[in-house]
Amino acid sequence: MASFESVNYSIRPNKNIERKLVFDALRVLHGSIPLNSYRYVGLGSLWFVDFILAHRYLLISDMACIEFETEAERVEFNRPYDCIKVLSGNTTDVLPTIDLAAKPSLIWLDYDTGPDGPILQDIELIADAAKVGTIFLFTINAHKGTLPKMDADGRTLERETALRLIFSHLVPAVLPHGSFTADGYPKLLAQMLLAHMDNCVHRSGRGNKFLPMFNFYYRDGAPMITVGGLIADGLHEHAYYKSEVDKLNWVAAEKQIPILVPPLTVKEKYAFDRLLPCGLLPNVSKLGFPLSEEQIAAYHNYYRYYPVFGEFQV
Amino acid sequence: MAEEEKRKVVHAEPTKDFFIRMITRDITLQDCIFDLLDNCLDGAGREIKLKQLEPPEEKRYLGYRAKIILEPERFEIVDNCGGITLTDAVEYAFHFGRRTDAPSDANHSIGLYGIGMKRAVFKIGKKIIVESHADESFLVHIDVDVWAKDPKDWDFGLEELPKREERGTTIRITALNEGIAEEFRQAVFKNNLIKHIARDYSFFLQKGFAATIGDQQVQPFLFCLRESQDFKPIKIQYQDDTGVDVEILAGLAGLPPDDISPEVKLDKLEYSGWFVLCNDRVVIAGDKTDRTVWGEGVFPGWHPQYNSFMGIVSFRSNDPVKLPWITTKRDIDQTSPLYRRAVAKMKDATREYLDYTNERKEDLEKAKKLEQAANLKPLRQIALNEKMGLPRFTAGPKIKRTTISYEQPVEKVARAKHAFGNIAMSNKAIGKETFDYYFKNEVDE
Repeated sequence: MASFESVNYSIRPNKNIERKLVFDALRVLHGSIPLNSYRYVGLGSLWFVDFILAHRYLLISDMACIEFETEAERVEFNRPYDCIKVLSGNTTDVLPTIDLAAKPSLIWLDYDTGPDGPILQDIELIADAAKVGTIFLFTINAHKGTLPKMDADGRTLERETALRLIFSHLVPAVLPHGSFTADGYPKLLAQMLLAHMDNCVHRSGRGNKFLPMFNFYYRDGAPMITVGGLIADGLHEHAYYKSEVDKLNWVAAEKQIPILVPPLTVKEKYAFDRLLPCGLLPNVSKLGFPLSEEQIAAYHNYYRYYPVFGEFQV
Repeated sequence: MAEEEKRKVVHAEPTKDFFIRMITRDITLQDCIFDLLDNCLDGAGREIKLKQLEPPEEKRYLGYRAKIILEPERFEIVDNCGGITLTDAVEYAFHFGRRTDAPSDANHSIGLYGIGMKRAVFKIGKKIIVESHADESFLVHIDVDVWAKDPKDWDFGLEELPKREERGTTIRITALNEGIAEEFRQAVFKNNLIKHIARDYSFFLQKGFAATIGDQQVQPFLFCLRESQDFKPIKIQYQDDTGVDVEILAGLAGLPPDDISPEVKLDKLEYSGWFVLCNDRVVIAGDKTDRTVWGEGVFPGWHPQYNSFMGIVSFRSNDPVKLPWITTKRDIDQTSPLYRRAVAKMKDATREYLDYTNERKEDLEKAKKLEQAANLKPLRQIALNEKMGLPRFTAGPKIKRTTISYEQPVEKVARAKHAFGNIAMSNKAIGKETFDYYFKNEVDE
């Protein structure tokens, strides 16, 4: 079952905010590296939310959406623009059929799976083939339960063994303390994936560099992470820093950026917004309704991106 | 015609470029770092011999350490392993190639050809400082570009320093060569370096030597074989005609796989196969090729079914030149008679295990139980034993078998594995489980 059958992607607030943060950053980068001539490659699902943002804000008009064969027909029906081509198959099979070397791409593969899915292979495929200037992002499930619990012969696997089985040389020789806590695991996972992206770009032997841009953690249900960055040569690196996209506090951060806003009613949102912007965190007593300090901080960080959903008659 | 005119000569002097650009190509960056680490260990060995210290073998290197710093702008290795004496520096250490009149080194040293340090530093960068504190203290500064300009003068300038109490050597390299800084920046390079030091210097680390990469101290990989009533690793020792001491160990290390379908990821594959050690240093690790026994002559080639077999052959001598390694210390001179004689014995040690991996299929459940029950034992604690002990399985009554093969969508198969409770299981295994399930529920026995 595809996850869109159980979740409507557009109404998950943290995912929604993450998407806006990514596209906000890309719009800043767009000032120095014109992205309108790029190709967008994504997993549009039924909703194509990312495709719409890429078309609307970055003016990208060459788009490819990868979808499992079984769902491709319905996805085809739902594609919002004529410039989107639906390519049916698994990402690992379809990616090599897209001529990634012809022009730079903006690729965002937002998987339903965890690290046991196609991500490691797909990163390598893209790093090996993609034209310099390509920006690639990956979203995966960061619940430690997605690690295999048994080996092929049904013997119980320790978490660390399972991790080394999947990530081998990407796993630090000594795991940092708390690597399998709810908080530590998404960080470790992101660190290994970014190291893999960096290493694959390096090993492609084309003299390019990987500039890490994104490392988000969010949770609307399952914990998820998004990592991504730019394949750059000297010119792109220069343009990247000239755009000052790295000055945005959620871009190229040393630490993982959590996006964990609380669900708020419209009334609560308006009450909170009236206190903003402000330097220090607003006091609970001023809000007029109770929220924890973390929730206040989270909303304070991302209030400009907070989505409001409503019902309308069609 | 005058006699002199007839006797023309061909010029055979080496060029500096040969040393800077050519010999550095034959070795990987990691092996260069290993060469420097070898020098630290030899330094410690020399000092132990010099001071006539007689530490117990299992704590031989306790107190000695090497710290390696990898940064995008700088490489550094700092040790407290005795330093280089001024005489050694002037006469030998910086000489290209080991001089035949060089004094005998530490017992069981691993330094060999007088090329490691120069090759390593030239590979890494262009500005090199070697600082040493032994009986005297001094510093050698090499600016490779400047040095390379003068084709005749091969000497490096040496500057004396005020004497320091702690003896040791520091090598600091900046102006890193193209590609080196990028490697040092890679988390993967550092992870692999730590993992390989843990494995290849395991026996030095176990004897107390401390190797640190950045702020991380490397913990030795423990070579272990399984031992129980049913499983007895082979362990033989002999002195070769060349005077080199040889030890061979082999047996079950991991747990053999039931299933070797191509889609199955095998754990610890890199620790299966043959390991070759020279004076405690791992020269070949986890070999599955004809560099050791596999597919050599008429011997069977490696097969994933043999995963979990581990063999260790160890050569030791006070004279490292007698050992069968090549200059990079990452391979063996295959033609060495000493090595050929050992390979014959290694084949004997391997053969029985190979038979076992077939025999165990007769009663897989029992075999797995026995294997799991055998405890992992460090090599040192394993007793001498001429013949590998393995459980025997006799073939049960033959049931005529046939094969079922069918295709299903990948996604459905994945969901079936998920429902079964093991997403890592092979297609073959889930095929068998689903058949068994149908048979149990629908077929009257």
